[in-house]
Amino acid sequence: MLRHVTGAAVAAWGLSGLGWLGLAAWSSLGDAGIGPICRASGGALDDVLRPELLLGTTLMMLAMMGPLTAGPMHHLWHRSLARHRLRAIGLFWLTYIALWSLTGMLFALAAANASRIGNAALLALTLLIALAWQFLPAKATALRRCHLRPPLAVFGTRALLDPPWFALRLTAWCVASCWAVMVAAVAAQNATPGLVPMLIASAIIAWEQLWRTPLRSDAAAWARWSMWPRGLDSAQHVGWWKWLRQRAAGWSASLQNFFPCLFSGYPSKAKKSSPFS
Amino acid sequence: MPRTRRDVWKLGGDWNDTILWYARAVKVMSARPFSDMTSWRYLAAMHGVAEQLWRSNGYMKPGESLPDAVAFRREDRDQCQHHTWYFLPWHRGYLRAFERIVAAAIVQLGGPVDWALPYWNYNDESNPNRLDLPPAFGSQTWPDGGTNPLFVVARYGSTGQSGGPITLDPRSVSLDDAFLEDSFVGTQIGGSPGFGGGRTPFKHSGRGDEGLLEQSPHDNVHGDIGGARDNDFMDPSKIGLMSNPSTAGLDPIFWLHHSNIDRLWESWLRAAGHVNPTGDSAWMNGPARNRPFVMPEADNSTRTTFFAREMLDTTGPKLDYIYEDITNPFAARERVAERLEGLGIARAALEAVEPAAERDMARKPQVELLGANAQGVRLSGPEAAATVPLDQTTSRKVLESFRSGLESTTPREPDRVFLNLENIKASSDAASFSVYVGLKPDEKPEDHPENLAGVVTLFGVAEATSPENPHGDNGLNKVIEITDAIDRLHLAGVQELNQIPVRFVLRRGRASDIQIGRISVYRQGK
Repeated sequence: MLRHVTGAAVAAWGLSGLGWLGLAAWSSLGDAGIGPICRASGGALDDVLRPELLLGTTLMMLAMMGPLTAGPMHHLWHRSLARHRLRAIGLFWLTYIALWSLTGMLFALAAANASRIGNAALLALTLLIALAWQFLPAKATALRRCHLRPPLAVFGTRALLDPPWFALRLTAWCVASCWAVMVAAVAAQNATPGLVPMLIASAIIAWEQLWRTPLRSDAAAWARWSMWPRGLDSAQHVGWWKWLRQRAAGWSASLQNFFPCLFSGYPSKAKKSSPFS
Repeated sequence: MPRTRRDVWKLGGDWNDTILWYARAVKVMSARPFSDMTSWRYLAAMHGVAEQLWRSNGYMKPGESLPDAVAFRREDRDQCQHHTWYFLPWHRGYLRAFERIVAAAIVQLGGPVDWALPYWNYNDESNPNRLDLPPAFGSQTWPDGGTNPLFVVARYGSTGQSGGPITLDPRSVSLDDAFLEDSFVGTQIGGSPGFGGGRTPFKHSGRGDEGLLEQSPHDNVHGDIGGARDNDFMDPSKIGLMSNPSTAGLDPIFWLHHSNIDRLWESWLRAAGHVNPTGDSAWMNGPARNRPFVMPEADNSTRTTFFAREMLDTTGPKLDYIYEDITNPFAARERVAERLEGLGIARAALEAVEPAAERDMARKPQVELLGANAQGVRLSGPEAAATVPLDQTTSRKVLESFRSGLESTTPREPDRVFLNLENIKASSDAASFSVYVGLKPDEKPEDHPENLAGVVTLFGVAEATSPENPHGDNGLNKVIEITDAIDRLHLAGVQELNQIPVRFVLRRGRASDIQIGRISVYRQGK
């Protein structure tokens, strides 16, 4: 099985692992280490921009977002001239991690300021927002764009600019896709010590971007939300009551995609053993 | 006793028993409710379904909706595998389920118990009609009276007229590239996509390298049959059923086309060194990721999951069918030997060339980018030209491979070279164009068939282009071997490779609708 793991995947997960190791080592230092990243006491910009917090945020983003770069690195490697491969990946990574670190610091700043309303209330609010965001069409649109694989220039200045431009676009879509989970994780970090909230957020982000097979039915359900006029138009075909039932079924399908464990009876008819075997 | 699938052109008469019973079964299955897993529409939707297109073509009536069952929404619909190494095994399982459901319907109607799905052998050189749509499918009437169940209104071919004659373009059914390829699995990105396709997880649509058999004849035949009404390629409701993966399964000819594709897989295996990737657990145990391959059984209550490894032995009890003819028309040919001979290596020296299988096992191909154009190309007219600049350092490796390979006492194949059309976007699945390589600006493509590198049909491009679809907005990728063109340059004494001129000639579609994101060239060496 190992021979099928691409070098890009090994590199991406390896970098992520280094990030987690760094964070774990730092977190063992207590308030001298990881703690202040997400608990900047006064919520002031100066607090967040302290060098150790910058480094901590960068490590955090390396750990959390590293696995998402396997596909992009694979793309950069194979779509670049052999002697430009490492350069392209380096430029991509520099831009990618810089943008994510900047975003991470903004999250930390926002969480530190918001913590004035109380950690429990903040946590409940962010969890609610994160849950709602997961079901909005805009989230699905952003998630689909996280699989962007654009053409890359080979020669001239554009060969230098395209990898960072790719990173910029990809990061923008990925931030748009998972900001809510990230904010909830930062808020949870305020309330609980350790890396557990970040690990959970990382698992959710990696699962939805790397493992979850996007379903057409899911996309269609999103489309019915996001293109309301067309949805209303289809209501004329099928009748309003039936149309509402279909919408409910579509939303239910989306819910099942995210939380299959809530639907433990499914699939009811598929046999485990196959007559082919 | 396994079922025997036979060539539709050799069954005798337009309305022989096999076709007549097929038509009767289509009629019965079409009358079943959509939610019935053995209905015509349910089975077609397993390949792909686009609600608006089905409505506009009359396959969903006002007030009717897609099946509500969770199994349909989550697993059954939109399952077809394209641009992946699962293309062949998934379609084999799909045909197997379809054939058993049709056969059960025929038995219920009082027909023969041994009915088998026929195939349309458009490559049978001994049959002058091989490229014509079998007559029973083009006739609006049939022996039982009323509308012929095998006739489809939205089947437009090259004329753009429903009910018009449909004849495949001979270039569309070329098997040369697929059958001369020794490897089932594609190499890395940019190199040979292999006979069966590149390594992917479950892949319904979008990027990923499609295998050579999927490119030709599979894609081309889909487009040649489907076409578009009045040749209006911009209105999705006018695109022929066969042109689009989300409607193709509705056309009864779809199944005979895929029966032939499945037969060609068996046929390809009948050549020395051609094997399935049985040593690759990722393929054998595929699909990877969290969505299974699943098919309904004829009892309309059981759904069966399956894996690629279960789709290998057609004669075993699990599949239980054979083809009337699986002769490999290329069995006596060997791509490497032919190429070396064309490059001037004497036949006596070819004895030293390793057999394909040993060669492939011995060395893993190295694939690397040789050059790419900066802006891609939009096909702004019936013809569009582009020049792909090549990197000098890498192109010297190609030239060196000719010198070292051909001057050796044990000749080795020089680098193979592949043209990649990346991020192709268009709104019409019926769109198609020919690709010529190495033409001078004043040369006309029709005068130089030797420069034709391949025919591309954009089956599945609309879904791969739409940002509304999973993995959409990346478009399709196509890989075409242009080793012949490089060999001709070598034979002409060319000492430097600076650029490759590429010409696109529109076959179908609106030119301005087709955008290629990047045109690149790769070398594949050992």
